[in-house]
Amino acid sequence: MKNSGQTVQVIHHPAGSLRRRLWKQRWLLLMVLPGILWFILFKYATYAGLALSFTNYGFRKTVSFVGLRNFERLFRSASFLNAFRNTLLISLYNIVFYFPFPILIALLINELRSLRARRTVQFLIYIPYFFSWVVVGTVFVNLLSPSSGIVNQILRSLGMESIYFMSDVRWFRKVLILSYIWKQMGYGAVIYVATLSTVDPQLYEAAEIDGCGRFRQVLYITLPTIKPTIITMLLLNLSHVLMIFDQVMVMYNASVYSVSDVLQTFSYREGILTGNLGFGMAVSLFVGIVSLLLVLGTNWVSKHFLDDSIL
Amino acid sequence: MMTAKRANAIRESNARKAFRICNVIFLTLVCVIVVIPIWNVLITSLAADKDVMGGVYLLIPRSLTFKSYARVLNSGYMRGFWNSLFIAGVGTVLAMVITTPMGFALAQKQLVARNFFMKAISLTLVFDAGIIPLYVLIRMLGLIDNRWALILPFMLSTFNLIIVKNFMMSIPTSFVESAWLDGCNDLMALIRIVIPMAVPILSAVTLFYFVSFWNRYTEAVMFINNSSKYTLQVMLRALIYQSDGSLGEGNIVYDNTKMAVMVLGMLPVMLIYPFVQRYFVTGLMLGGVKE
Amino acid sequence: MKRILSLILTLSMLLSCVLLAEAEAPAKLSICSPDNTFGLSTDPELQQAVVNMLNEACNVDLEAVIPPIGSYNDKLETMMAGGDVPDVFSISQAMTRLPNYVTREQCLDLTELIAKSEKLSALDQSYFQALAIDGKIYAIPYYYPRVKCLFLRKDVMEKYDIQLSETPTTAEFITEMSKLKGTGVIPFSFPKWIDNFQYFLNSFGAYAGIYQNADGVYVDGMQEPQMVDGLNYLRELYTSGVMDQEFITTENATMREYVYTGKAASDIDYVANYSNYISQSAAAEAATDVQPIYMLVGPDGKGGGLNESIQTAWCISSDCKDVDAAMRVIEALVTDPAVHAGFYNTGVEGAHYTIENGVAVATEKATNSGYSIKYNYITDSFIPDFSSLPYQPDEKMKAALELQRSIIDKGMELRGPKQMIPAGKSDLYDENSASITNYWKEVISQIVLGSVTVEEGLANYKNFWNSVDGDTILAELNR
Repeated sequence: MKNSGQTVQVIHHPAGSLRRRLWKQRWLLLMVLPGILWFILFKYATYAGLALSFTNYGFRKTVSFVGLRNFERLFRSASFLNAFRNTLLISLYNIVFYFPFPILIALLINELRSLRARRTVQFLIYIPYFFSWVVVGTVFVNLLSPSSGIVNQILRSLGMESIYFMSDVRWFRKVLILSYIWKQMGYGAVIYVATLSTVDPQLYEAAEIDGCGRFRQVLYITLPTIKPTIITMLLLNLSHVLMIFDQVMVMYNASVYSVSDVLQTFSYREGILTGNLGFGMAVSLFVGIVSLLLVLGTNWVSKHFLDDSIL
Repeated sequence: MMTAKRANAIRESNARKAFRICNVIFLTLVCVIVVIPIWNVLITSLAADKDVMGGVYLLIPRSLTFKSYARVLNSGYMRGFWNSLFIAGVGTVLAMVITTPMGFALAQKQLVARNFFMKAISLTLVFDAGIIPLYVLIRMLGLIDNRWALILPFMLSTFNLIIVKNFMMSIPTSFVESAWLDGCNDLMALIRIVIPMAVPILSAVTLFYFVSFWNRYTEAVMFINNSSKYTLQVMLRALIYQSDGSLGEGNIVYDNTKMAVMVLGMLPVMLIYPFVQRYFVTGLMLGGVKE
Repeated sequence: MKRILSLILTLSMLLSCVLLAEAEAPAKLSICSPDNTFGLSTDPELQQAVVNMLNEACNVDLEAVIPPIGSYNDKLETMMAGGDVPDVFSISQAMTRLPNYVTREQCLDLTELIAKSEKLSALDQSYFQALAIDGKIYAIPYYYPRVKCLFLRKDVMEKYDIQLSETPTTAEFITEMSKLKGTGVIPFSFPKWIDNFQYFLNSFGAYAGIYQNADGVYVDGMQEPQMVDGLNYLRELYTSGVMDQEFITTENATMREYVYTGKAASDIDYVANYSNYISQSAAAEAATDVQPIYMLVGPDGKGGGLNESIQTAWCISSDCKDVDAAMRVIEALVTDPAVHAGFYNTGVEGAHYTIENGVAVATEKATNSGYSIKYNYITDSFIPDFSSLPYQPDEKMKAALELQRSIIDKGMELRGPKQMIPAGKSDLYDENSASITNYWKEVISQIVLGSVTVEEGLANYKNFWNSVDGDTILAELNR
């Protein structure tokens, strides 16, 4: 249901307009107040910690200002550049391969006639979200085992050789994405399913009467309805896709470090494990800035090409 | 109703039928792929000790016993459960009470300093200082080892806030305006008109909040010192990971116990889900088959 | 006058009461140790029973923080960063972390306190020295250095006529174990943790990582010539089919279970876990005895068991207010039979176990949290005599423990080298050591799996070494 274009006329008063507006909107401001306080306390106050990225906090007992040394070290470090490359690649895979999945699933579920079928499918695909990554890791190790895994059994019956996916640098990132899809798609679909249920069925009826086939109905009614949701979710995903950590930490092993070491595992190893917390903060700050650029960039693109600004 | 149904049946083309069949096959395949590992977890949790040793992957049940579940339930599960329930319940309620009105307010284009607020809020999406500054903050607030340390810092999520706000923006202002004309102030407009329209999204967001409170682990370990205040996730993980990977060993814990722990850990959320789902997986009201 | 006198008298009586009370009041301390201590049960009530026992034994009032072992280091780091260091804490992965904590001035220098303590100075001081930094002792160990050896199922040995002594040569190991090819039994199961390969590298005099050679010079083990021979042998182990082809995705627990069930013939494990193999293989209905292989003798006669030295020890925070009380607690944990056994293994009578006929039997409450009676402390700890305890292991267990004791001793005799690199000497080293370790683990695993050849792998390593300025690191360490 798009905004039908009606806007509220704000009448400007020449004098005391701010105070007038504040009084007029007192309820709105009250609604916003607790949240703003929360943001100041639990978000912005902790950002003071990011200032530590300019110090050598944690490395020795005394904290001293080191200026940009942490950042210099960051950009000179081959491990960092490798981690950055891996993070970008894995994030790209995530956006290209994972992102459309929940949308597709939600649309397909919507096409099912029986309500019970819809609810069942939705429920089933939603369960893997609750498996911790450790369990998902074990599941995929078993699934992909060269000797006893189902996937390789199928490959062998087709005449191909077994592939040791979990230790193959060509396959490991794909395993990461596939396991991510398996685990998250049900949960991701929830928001789209919820949005789809707000579509006015009368629109479909009207289109049906006008002779529109189902496919055109989806194209002209369903998709435009969820377009804002899609863009919102895209931006939200972009904002934290670079912070991937738990999944990699649990699923990787020594033979694939080079392709799966990501920024957060790098930061954990060279920051927290060595007590070099200032350096760890520098990585967090860097990740934040890159994510910000990604989000702003995408927001700009969506504003100019898709007519929708989310932030 | 009857005529509409018959009319639909007449109009259904072969292409559409084919599509529907393909759709069903595809979704069934997806469900099977998803269910096999779930089935495996279930079977393993019900197996006897000697049947799960040695990394055996069970698809056909070899033995059926509830011993693993009994073990877990008797090892302090209930205490962790109530701790988690308190935190998740109170947290979700607080979160929805703060998020919904705030999302509504931010959706109103005339809000004073709206742009500033949106920019300040969006920044928090990308920047994360990590757990140590949060630990220091909690410590300064004197909340270490206190349940509220697991509620307060999480009773708002920028992600969910933006989802709610964007949905509310898609509600035509004519609804809110007509409420004003009726003499409602913004608060009553929110409660009487907007919330009922936003039920699907709000129920989805409620689910998101509840799940994130329920699953929270790292902060629970860092902020809580007293073992009897552990949430369920911490307690369960402590039970099954009694060794630290490459070093150290504790008790030997078999796979069946690990799986039982997993199932019991997610059971509460699984049970809530169908109730919440009712609000956002709806059938077509008119036309089409409704069961 | 009289009134003033009586007032003064009353006040001074009150004052002395207060002072006396303070002197007798148990000292308040905070203690932090992972949840595989405090009685081997994760149940909070049972853990509290152990805390109470400690309180009584040492006249202290302990606030115990007992994080899950999987997150122990993270929690300790967070507490330290937040300024909340516990007075008495257990350090894990001591070889890599202790130098780090010491440079961050989190640990108290305990050298003099140990000398003052009768009980602690009576122990073999060479174990304390293993954790010494610059001659000062910052951590107090409580068990013998851990050594790993290979365990081989005797029933498989008999069935397939595998002739291996307790110290065979590297060539013999491959030849004999290859007899299991095609039998469906995995000859040698191995975990994903690459540091275990050091067992085999010991046979070639090679050492992965930076170490101080016999001349006292710091060198990089990966670039020493004998490493090439070691790596070639590891690759041969894999190509010959002796090593589990899927080792890189195998957890420790899974590896052990393979041997318990007979799916694998051998694995690598702590010498002190010998008794587990007897009991667990019986539980898996595949009972057997196992033969330890303490070391493989390389072509030059070198070799040694995998020495993991001492990884867990007790430290006192440099901010601790009551050091004497802290030392009392540590002394009790390390030298007192009842306290040690209760804390590290059996727990408290009535809560964790009951005594029937002089043997300890686990309570139901304890069993539910995974607890079982273990007697490791008899062979692991520095305490020679546990006969004062009201419960003793039964005859069968005693015999197994005697055997285990001799295995542990032999393992100690034949152990390989292990070194701790001091922190604070080279900033560059401190910053990069974690990444260097990560990288050689990656290179070795890729070489073994065959994704790269030995030459390619070492060339990649050299590139990496140069990118982190490795030669400067060595120069700084050698200053």
